[in-house]
Order: sequence, then structure tokens, then C-alpha cells
Amino acid sequence: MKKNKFLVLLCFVFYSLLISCADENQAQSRANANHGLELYERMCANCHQSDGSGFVKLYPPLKNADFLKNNPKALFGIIKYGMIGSIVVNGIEFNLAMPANPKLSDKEIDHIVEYVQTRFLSNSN
Amino acid sequence: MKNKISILSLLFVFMACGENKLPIYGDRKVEMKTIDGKQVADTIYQSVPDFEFTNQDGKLINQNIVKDKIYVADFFFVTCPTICPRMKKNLLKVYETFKDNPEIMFMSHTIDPEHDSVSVLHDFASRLGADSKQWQFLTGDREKIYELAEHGYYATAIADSLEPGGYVHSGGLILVDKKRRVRGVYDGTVESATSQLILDITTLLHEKE
Repeated sequence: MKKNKFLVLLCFVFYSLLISCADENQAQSRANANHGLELYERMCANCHQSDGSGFVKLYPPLKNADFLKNNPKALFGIIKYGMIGSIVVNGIEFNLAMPANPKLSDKEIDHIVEYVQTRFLSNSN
Repeated sequence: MKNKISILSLLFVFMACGENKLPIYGDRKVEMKTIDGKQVADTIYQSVPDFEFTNQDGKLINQNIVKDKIYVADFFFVTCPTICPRMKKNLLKVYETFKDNPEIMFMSHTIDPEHDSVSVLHDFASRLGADSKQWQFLTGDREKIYELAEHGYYATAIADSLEPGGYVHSGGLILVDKKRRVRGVYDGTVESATSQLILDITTLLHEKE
């Protein structure tokens, strides 16, 4: 009987820990997403627009961009080091240089990448 | 009925008196002239000085291209990552509103002529969808561009290597009338300001000489 009570208590403690960890993870992921949005608006939206649609044939779209879907690991490096030369995104050729972002930390770039992937490149788009 | 007519006629008088006039920017001086033997005061307004630059097609362009035209001037550079993309997006709306109107021109001057060569400007203009008959992208001697920006159009275009893109510039869209007088300066990064620019161009189009 005592053993059973102890087991129930143990389960309760374990469950509470699990819930609090999940809450913490959720809060952290929300904070990252907000930070990603704030950084995107400040650093990227001027050219690529808040809705990721890009602008005419000057700045490529990020929303449903086949280039990024086909090269999922490229985004971090493009944001960090910039990009020169011509690329084709969704059938349109773009050639304007994208500047590097030496002031952004790797963590900040991670948050932007996460935001872009969730907002513009997930299959639900 | 009589009352209605009086109210209507009063309204017309008010509308005529309240004709929307845009301000004229810059210095002015009064000169006395003799017309038909009478001394008459004539106000001389400051106007944009003569200029000569090369456009996106490699043609030399001077003030004659805006003769008897209303135009919008701005200063930008192709690799600008900050305010220029927003300015160009808003300016494109203005351009599309008055597209093919022979009385309206657009004059975009690069403030980075070392990078923004004729071919770079040509590529930029065509990607933007701008027709060189109505929208000039101009390059030339750096000093002359900055001089025109500061003293001709009241925009600040001062080199500053600390700013993103290497330059500070005002983001202003400058409205110039048919007599080359500045009639308005609008924040090209703000959508509502460019909507006002569209309204003011329409006002200028209807302005009597």
C-alpha cells in the first residue's frame, strides 16, 4: 500500500516537471519567434517586405521561395555573409547584391531563419 | 428655394476662394518692372539650377527634359539596404498613377556614382519597370550631384561611411513645378506622405499659370 502511494507521488512529481518543462520550452520558443519577427522587420522587411513577397524584379520573395526550399541550409550563410551574383527564385532572375550582416550574432540569425522558415516556407503556406 | 440658391452660390464662392495652393519653397526677391509706363512689383522665386547628367540609356540629360513639366526628384543608390527600397516602392506607386502623362516626369539621382554606372542604373530601372521616357535615372560627377541635392533640392546627401550602405540621405521626394520651383518635400518611406504627393501633383496639374 505504502509502495503504491509512493509510486503515485513519484508519477505526480514527474508529470509536474514534464508540464513545467513543456511550458518553459513553449515560452522560450514564443520569445524566439517574437525576436525573429522583430529582427526580420528591422533587417529584412525593407527589401523583402513584411509579407515576404519581395519587390518587383529587384528583391526576391521569401514566401514559398523554391530557392530556399531546395537549399534549406543556405539561408543562415546568406544572412550572415550576404550574397552576390544572379539567382533564380520562382522562375525570376535576381542579381542585386544582398549585404552581409556582421552586426548580427549567430543566435540572432538563427531566430531570423526560424521565423522565415515558419512564416514563409512551411508547407502550410 | 431662394435660400437654397443663395447657399449654393455662397458655397461656390468659398470653393473658388479656397483654391488649394501649394507653397513655394526657397528664397524670393521682389523686382520692380515697368509695364505700360507703370511700375509693377514682380516676385522672383528661387528655382532649381541648370544641370547636366547621364541617364540610364547613356544619354546626356539637362534641364530641358523637364521644361514645362511637373517632376518628382529623389536621391538614392542601388545598393542601399535601408530606406531606398521603401522609397522606390512608394515612388513606383506615384509613377504608376501618372504613367504616360506627358506633363509628369521622375528624376532619380544616384548618390553613389562610383558604383551606379549607366549599365547598373539601366538594369535597376528595367527591373523596377520604369520607362526611360518618363523616369530618368541619373549619374554624373559626385560633387555636382551633391551640390544639386543640397542647394537645388534642399535634400541632404552627405557621405557618411558609418551608416548602413555607406551614406546618409534624406529619403525625401521633392515635387517641382513647371517653373522649376520646389513645391513640396515628402517622406518617401511613408505611404501616407506619398499619397499626399499624388494629391499635390494633381493640384499642380490644375494650377493656373
